[in-house]
Amino acid sequence: MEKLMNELGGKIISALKLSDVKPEDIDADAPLIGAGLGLDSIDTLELLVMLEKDYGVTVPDVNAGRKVFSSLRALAEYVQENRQKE
Amino acid sequence: MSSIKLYISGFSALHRDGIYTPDGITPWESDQKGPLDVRRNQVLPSPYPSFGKLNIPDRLAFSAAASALSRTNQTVGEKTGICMCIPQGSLSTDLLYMDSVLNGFPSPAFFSATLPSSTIADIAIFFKLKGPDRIFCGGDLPGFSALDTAAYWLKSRKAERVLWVAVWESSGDFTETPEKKTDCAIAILLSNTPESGCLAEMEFRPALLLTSKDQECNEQEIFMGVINSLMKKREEIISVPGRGFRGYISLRYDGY
Repeated sequence: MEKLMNELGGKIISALKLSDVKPEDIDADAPLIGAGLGLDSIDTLELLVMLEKDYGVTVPDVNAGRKVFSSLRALAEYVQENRQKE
Repeated sequence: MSSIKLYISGFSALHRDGIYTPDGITPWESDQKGPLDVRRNQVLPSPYPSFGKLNIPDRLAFSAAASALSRTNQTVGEKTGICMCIPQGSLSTDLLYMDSVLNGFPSPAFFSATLPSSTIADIAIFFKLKGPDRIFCGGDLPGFSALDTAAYWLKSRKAERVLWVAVWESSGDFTETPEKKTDCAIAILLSNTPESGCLAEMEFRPALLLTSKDQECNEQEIFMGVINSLMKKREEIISVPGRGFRGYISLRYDGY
């Protein structure tokens, strides 16, 4: 799980071009949207594209999305359970 | 048409030589090729995690605006407008978005930036500028059109200050004469009264807008002339080169 969290942290930084952020800056249990990284709704859409492209993972609805993006750890758990690509 | 007086209380330019501010020219570092490689901490003292995801015109415009606003002693906000010119509009981002569509995964971030005025939004949101805004893309003289509009807002009290921003993007080779252009962004903070901290008085004739279509006018060169004059505090009358123009921009520094 730690490895996947590190990988996802790097992909978030890369996909959203967060030039001022390093992977170790991302608090594994802090919300990804709003506070913390300061991500907005467009960033969320960009992450959804990244999840589908790189892991074959889709998020079916808003309620699932809230849970998935509640933290890096939650995101990693969701990807691990639902990934279609290795 | 009568001339219009405006007062400059802040400015900055990102040009191939470096970052121009009232403090001087800061050259690019050895690993930076020019304005497109600008780093957040070179123009803005506070963190901005989204800086890296700004597309090319956004990054140039935001950086020039940040560099100008972080060095002025004027309070900007509620009644500060933004008037911007980007001759190429969002063309470079449109092409990136098209690439992402062709790759099967359309990018929402690129899509949102295919609206040219998203560049204004990035600046307005970050600096909390709530005055009127307008963007000029294409046309003969978008920079002067933006300046004319800024002057109208100030004269009619629609805004107390206006941040005039111009971006020229050459990387995409979209211009008809790319050899004469370079990636460049200029931001100038204007007001209609000489406030404390005023750097110069600018007078210009909007008759410049009456250019003919066959007239070649390099606005980047003209406005970099304004910046060079401001840097040297050199009183100057800058005219638009070529046939048929009657306009000018003059700069004065008496008492500032």
